Amino acid sequence: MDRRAVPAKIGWAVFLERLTATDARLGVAVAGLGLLAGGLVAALAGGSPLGLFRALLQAATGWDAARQVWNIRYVGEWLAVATPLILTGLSMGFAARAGLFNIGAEGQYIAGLTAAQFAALYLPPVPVLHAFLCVAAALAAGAVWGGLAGWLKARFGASEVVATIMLNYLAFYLSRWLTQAIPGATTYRTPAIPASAQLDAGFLKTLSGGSNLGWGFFAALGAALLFWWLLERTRMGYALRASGLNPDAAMAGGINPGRVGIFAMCLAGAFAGLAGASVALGSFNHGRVLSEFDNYGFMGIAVALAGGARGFGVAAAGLFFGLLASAQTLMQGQGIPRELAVIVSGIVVILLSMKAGLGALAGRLGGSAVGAPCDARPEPGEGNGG
Amino acid sequence: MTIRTICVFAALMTIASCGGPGKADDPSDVTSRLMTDATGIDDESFSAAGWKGMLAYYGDSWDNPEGKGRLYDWITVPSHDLFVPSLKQVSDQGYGLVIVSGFMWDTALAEVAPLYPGQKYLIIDVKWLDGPNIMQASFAEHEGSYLVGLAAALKARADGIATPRFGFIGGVPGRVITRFEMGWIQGIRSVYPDAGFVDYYANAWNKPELAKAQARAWYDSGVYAIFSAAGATGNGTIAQAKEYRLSGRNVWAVGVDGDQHRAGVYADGKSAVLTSMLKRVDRATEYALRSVRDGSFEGRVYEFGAANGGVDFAVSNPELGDAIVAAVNAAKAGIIDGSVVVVPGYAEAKSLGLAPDGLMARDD
Amino acid sequence: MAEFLPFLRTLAMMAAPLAIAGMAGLVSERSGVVNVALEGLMGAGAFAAAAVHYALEGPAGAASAWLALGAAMAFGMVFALPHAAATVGLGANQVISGMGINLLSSGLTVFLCKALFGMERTPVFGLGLLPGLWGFYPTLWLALAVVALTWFWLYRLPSGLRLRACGEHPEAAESAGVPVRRVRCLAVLASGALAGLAGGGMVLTHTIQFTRGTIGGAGFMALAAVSLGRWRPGGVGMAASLFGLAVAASVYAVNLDALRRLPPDFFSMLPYAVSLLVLVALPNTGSSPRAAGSAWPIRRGPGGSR
Repeated sequence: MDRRAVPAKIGWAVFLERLTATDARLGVAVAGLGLLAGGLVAALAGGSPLGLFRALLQAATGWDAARQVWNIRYVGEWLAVATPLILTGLSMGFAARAGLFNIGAEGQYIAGLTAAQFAALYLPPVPVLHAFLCVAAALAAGAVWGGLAGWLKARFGASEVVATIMLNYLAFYLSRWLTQAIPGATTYRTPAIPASAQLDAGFLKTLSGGSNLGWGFFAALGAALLFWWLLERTRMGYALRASGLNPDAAMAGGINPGRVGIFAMCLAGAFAGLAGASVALGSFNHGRVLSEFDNYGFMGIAVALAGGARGFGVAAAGLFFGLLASAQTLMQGQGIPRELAVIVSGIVVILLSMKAGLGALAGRLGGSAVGAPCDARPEPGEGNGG
Repeated sequence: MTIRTICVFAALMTIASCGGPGKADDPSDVTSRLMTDATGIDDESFSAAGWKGMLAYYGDSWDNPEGKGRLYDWITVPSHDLFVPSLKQVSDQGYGLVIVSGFMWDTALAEVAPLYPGQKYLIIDVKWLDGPNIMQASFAEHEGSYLVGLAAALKARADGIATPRFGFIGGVPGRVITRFEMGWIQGIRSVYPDAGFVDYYANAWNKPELAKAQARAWYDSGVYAIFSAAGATGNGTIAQAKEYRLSGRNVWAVGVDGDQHRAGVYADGKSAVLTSMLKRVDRATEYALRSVRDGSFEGRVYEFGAANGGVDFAVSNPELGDAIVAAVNAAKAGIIDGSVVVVPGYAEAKSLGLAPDGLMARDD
Repeated sequence: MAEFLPFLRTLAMMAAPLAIAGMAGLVSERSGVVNVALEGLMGAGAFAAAAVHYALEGPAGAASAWLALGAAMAFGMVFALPHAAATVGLGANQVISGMGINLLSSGLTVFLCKALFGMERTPVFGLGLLPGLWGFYPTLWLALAVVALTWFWLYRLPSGLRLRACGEHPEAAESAGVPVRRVRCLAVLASGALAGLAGGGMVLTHTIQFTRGTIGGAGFMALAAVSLGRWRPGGVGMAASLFGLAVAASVYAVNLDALRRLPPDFFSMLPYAVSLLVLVALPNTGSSPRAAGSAWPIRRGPGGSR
């Protein structure tokens, strides 16, 4: 690791530097690299790498290369699967920008899902309004569940990492307990949810060949926009970013980190709660008594990390991970092990975690000053000791 | 909705008479896919049995699934909200038969099957759907559980235990698991009408440490045999039974779904699994595949019980002894001819005085 | 007392792996590297232990379980290597890298099972670690030893002092001649070995094979124990015991007539509720390592952040 003086930039150092110059470029490159590695793993497993890419192509475009048929429903399903991933990614990402490590998106997702189910079953089935109220209930429940962790930190100094881990399990079992207490509910489902509570949009369903795609996806895109606006264009967003970057300096600047933390966790929870609503009101016509974690919250951590905790980055990362998830059935049909998606995600996340280092490496190899442009920006989860 | 409940004894006899896969009338023309939830097929549970039935149909073995990936394969779906899209994706491919494993799939299949009228489906553990392309296989788990309960109780009597106690460990409470518990109790009580009984639901399919801790507490308090119907959670019961049997204590675990004899081996081929309640989902999958091939596929309910070998008990543990095996077989004949009646539900069993009050079993 | 001993045994069975994993987290974080990868590292260890024990149980007999624990430590270290390389070598964001390891491990362990055994889990082994003295599993004694040694190392040996300095004031440590990067790298590897040991101990005392759910969140509970124990070996050990106590109590409570009418979800919730209450009730002394989470050397980009 010595700092040799290199007179001229080496070819691939220039390449590396260009690659790491913007987050978007780096993200695309890393995603490609991860998929290449995935192809390699598939080949090692005795499957065909071609099958992997064929499955991804089909999940993304609906074009079935083997049977030469096209079905737009696949595109709809892809976007539908990506919806909760984008939202839980925003949840994790929003808290991360405030310097909080929100492992609790899973619990907030469950809170939202449960509240949406209750609202769907107990509120009057007035068209349109009913669905809005269900979503509002989910947002509120998620915000409360997330805000609880923020409040515990502000009030008692309880680490949000520990608190959110515990709150995940509490949400899961509480949801089971409460949902089973609904009259007519069995050990695994509630009575039917009225159509007025569903988030599906008739024209979208028609347009996408009968997929699960509904209003939830647009809510997710709107949430990504809101995420960007709140953070970059509002005072609260500024305070939030400031306390995420350097809590001491922020406090000296008159920012109350406790209040900011509660606010950040509330909003993070609301994002995850919306994810819960999108699943509860978009995939079944009955409520569920969860028998295991749906894992969207946990996957959201990877989505947020891969997306650099930025609104549009997270949306893009959510689409990428959603593609992997949506292609899973197809991949397994091609004899490719299902672990592949997880392995690819892991590689992508690790590679992205190194982006600052890669940029620095490029700079060093190229003989320029240590540091790369992308290093200038704060990274999620920073300045938090656990 | 008409559910025709039909005994498929004759049909299964036809399978038996065929004697293994008929290589002559090439089974390879029927392609199939087995769809499960995230657990997959390696858990020695009913999905594993379903997979074995597919292997048997194609003349392959577990270790050498030659036609896998081409003729047949299995697909897991990571979360429940993806059941419908995944089922549609698989149905798009136009396989000969799509098998979905577990009652959690019922609404997903009810939604998808009408969209693919040409696609044939088999669903396991469900008998309340309707559709010309849906074959449903339902199992009388209480009958098989009665048999293992009887076997364990007879073993306790053979060991000269005057007032043995018995335990049941379930995964997540629900009506399917309740059938296991009720059968187990009734089998025990046919021998010891006042036998002490304890039950515990770990509320998870994947927490063996909870079952292990509970099994230890119960064995310490004098419980003789514990039946677990709890997926990987039940591994904990077996682990504890192994430890205690190794140290010379006379306690047993009872396996579920598949024959768990091998999982219970602790020394010199001796197994801590006295017997296992067998749920022969393989019979259902193999039968369905054959019916697709010979054109006899029908969209209706098939009940698999003791009568047609759909549920049974395992005899791999020599400790069971010929006398007990004979007695249990006699009880099986009784179930078949109707002289022994086993009730599946907790409320019903309680009202008939067959099960004690205060159990954690649920009927819905 | 005779009633109490079995309960203690169960408590120890639950708490011991958590305490060992807690030490894994502690060592890493004390050196300045946040390790949220405990879950994945434990999974790697559990897989290795189950696979090696399955293979060696016949030929090696009683030594097999201990060899399996060794393999678990080695495998944990292998999986910690990318974390060390990324965070220390390339200054990667520690949380992101750790989560990446978790994903990688959960995929690769099952993938390896498929490659080695043709199924998504290891085959069933005969007997795991057997209870010894007073009916306790050896994991208890291992855990006590690991906690004691960690304390002795961190607070009584010069190298431990240097390690803590790297986590508190890397600048000061560096100027005093401590090779911060090397210390952190070794600490992460030690963390991997300990987490692997914890996972191995877990699979060998809790069950009879490795499955995708064997660890099932224990790594995150250990992470919680580190924070709950305020980054002190004794405290982390206590936190792990508290969690073990709550789990054991939830199992035993079902056997009390007065309590068993409550839904199972109540008992499942108990350990987490207790931990949360303790977290809130304990005074927060704010003793997390000051420099944990930040890369070293600190890079200043054109924007001059950090």
